[in-house]
Amino acid sequence: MNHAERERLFVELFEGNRASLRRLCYGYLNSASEVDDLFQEIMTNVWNSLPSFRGEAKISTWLYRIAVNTALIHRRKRRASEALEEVADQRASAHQDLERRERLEALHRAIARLGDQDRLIVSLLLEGLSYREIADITGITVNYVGVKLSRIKQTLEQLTSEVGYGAA
Amino acid sequence: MARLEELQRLWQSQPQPAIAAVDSHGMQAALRRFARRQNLVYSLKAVVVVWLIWLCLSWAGPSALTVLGAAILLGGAFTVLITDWRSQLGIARLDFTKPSAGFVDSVLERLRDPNVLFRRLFWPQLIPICIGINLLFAAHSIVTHLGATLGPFAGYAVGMKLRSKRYAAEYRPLVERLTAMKMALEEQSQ
Repeated sequence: MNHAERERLFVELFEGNRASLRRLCYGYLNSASEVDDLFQEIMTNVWNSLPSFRGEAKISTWLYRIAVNTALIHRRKRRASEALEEVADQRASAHQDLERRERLEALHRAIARLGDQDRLIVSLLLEGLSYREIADITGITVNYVGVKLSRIKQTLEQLTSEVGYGAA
Repeated sequence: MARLEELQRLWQSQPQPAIAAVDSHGMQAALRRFARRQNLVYSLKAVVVVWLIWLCLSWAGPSALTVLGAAILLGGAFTVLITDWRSQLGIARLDFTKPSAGFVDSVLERLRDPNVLFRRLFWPQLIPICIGINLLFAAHSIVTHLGATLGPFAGYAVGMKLRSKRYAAEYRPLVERLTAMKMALEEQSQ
């Protein structure tokens, strides 16, 4: 891969996936101030990994693998409990109707209470990825993804009702 | 619980905060700057090493023996420098494109013993340095030779201790988190 091709592919990946990657970062960190750091780390690893991209996996799978792996070893500076306020502030600045905003906050709060890997897996599911794709990204079997997601959904159900999902 | 499709719609429609000062071109420029800075740092280290050896050579007085010593010392010092550079790149060289389960294993392997590269190269690094210094100061007293022989070993021991301490402080929480994740994966897949 020559330099021009690498730059072109990088720009394409950046422009086409920044929204979903940033949602993944939010789902994992729940801290507005750290999302930029993690997002930049992900894009740095994408840039460094581009020369080794052989097209064996779908480019989206390849990209999500880098994003998930980068998130797993990202060193967080704050504790999740401190950071939750920031998510609320971030959402509050958006022009959305109140009910929708509250439901989104409730979902974020519920996700924030899951374990590291579960937060990433549920973010991938919410992005609309299939079990097969999630299995390819995480390296666990499709069956196990199913089992894991079933547990995560149960936990989310419990948590979203605790934090008042859709209560507004 | 709300239906999955509803949650997915809600999730995917959440507002995107402004990406302050982050665009693809800016990021590429930052990456290039970072690479240039890394190269500059290691180039400066190399210049300092060459300069110090040159100073030693001037002080010892140039002769066939001292020049040979300086050359061997230079080779040894560059081996250490290159090993250090490769070790610093250790984390950056991880294969982020692997599926996460395999990725976690490779990170843990690397983080559990960050000094493995230095230990493997212990003798090839230290012997040339000791020989080089001893040849460089061939005409000096036995005390100088003793210092020239023991100095590199002492420097190595202190360096390894400092590196281990820094790694423990920086990476222990990450190692613990990844180990817990790996154990959970293994237990649940059985």
